[in-house]
Amino acid sequence: MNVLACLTANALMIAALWPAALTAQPNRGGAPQNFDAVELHLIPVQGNVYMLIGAGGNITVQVGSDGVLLVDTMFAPLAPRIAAEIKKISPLPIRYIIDTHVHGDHIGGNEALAKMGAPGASPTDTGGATIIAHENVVNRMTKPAEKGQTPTSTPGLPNDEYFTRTKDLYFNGEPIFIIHEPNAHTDGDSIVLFRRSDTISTGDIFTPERYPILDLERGGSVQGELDALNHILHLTVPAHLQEGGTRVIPGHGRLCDEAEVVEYRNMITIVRDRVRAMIKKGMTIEQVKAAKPTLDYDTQYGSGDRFVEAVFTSLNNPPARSAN
Amino acid sequence: MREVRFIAAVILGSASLLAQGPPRGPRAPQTAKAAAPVDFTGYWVSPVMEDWRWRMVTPLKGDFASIPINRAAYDAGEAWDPATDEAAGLQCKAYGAPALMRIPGRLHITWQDEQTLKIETDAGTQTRLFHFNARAPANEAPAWQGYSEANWERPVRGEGDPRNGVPPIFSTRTGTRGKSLEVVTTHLRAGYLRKNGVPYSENTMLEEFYDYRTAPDGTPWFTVTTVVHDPKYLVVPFITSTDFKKQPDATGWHPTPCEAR
Repeated sequence: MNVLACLTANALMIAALWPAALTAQPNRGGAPQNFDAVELHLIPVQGNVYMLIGAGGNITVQVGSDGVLLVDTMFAPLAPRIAAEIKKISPLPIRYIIDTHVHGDHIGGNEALAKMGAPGASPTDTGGATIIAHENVVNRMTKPAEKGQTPTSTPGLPNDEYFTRTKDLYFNGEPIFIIHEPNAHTDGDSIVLFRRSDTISTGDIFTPERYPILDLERGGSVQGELDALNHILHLTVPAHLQEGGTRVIPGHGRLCDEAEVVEYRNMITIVRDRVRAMIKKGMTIEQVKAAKPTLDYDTQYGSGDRFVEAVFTSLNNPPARSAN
Repeated sequence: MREVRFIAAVILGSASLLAQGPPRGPRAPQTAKAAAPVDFTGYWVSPVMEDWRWRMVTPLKGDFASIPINRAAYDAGEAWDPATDEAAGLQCKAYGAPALMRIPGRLHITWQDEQTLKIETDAGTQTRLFHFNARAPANEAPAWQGYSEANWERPVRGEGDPRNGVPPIFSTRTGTRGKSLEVVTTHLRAGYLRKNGVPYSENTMLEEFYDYRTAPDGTPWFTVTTVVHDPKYLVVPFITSTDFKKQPDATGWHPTPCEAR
């Protein structure tokens, strides 16, 4: 997508979401103040994939003769309205929910939306939709608050976790690949490739309107983030001399294509290299932050302080690689 | 083992001395042109394979992405006014040596004399002179293209020499050492790294490495790695690499004057 098209798309999205943005002000994992003010917009992406925009993370919706598949579920209070939006394009039940990662703005609606659904190929105890996630998501969701405590059962817990590099299923006439990206945004990130619809849902690995949030406490890292973005670029194919080709649904923000992932990957690579060069010069975190190594990108992605701090910490203390 | 090595060295050294024959008289140093390991002369075109949005059009004011600017550079970029530059006759501020090789266009490379390689650009009609075996005069005036000192980059003995297959494990950079040209440029007039007013200062030091190679189809290419050092406006050096493809002749060579917008 060229600059003009990006700006236009941004302007349209800002205009569409402006009233909600003023009142809702969603942030990472935090709920908006007023869910009633949140506007939901369901837009067609490609093939039988749609994108639902509102508060929290974007939801990917795949529909067809088998039922409905969701990638992520926003916040719990929005579940009835999310279900109503989905009903506009399919009368069939939600059968699968795929969680891209553990943050509450992406999995908050798991329980409510699963209950409205019906089991996928793997019947569940609840009788609702099957919830799929990498096992690290389940581990994070069941982690006891205190050492020695018995883990509590978190509402909306995935009931079909995977621990291999990929998991696949065939649904609504197309192959769907769920791919674990180790130690990227978190240690439980999954991207979802809809092979016939030629669309990838990335979760928060890719957020084109802000710097990535490297959740170091939950196993995220800058190198894992770059590895994941490079893998996404390996899977995407641009249309020849035009916008389009493989569509990319980000965790937050506008619908994109490969070019925007390239820009984002390049930005992170460049910032990582700058911070690494400063570390080699012996600069402290305070000195690195004061040097503002993201200043040239801040007009595009907002304040880079938190990102720089995370990159610095990640380079100095890279996480042990999470399981595939 | 140490003794064995010593004996081997003595034998090899003796053999080497015997093979040298009678002593020779002092030899005149080769000129840079005669010593050139590869031929950079001819016409070259710059295929734009990256950074299209900053190179093929003048970026919007405030689009500084990918340049490691500091606050002073940011403020200067925000104050960019091409009309002011035009009025002052400074249309060539974005065509200085630190930015020139990144501008889409063609190069014409020739030897001006035995020690000076000349690069002319059609974009902005600029001329760079690479001086071999020379130092910048003390009174050298600042200019858009500054003063460039050049050397053929030789592989360090035993390192990176493609003839003996030793990998460049001790090299400080990658590239085709042995087929490369290294250039250091100073005495620059302050200008723009990007046409939308991202500045570099008169204290800028520019390092360049011209790596020559041949594509599988036999076409010569070179890649110039440009490293801009400017403590006044950059928090770390600004590094880019730009490719050029050899052209058979002057077709497509269209000199155009500098433009400020």
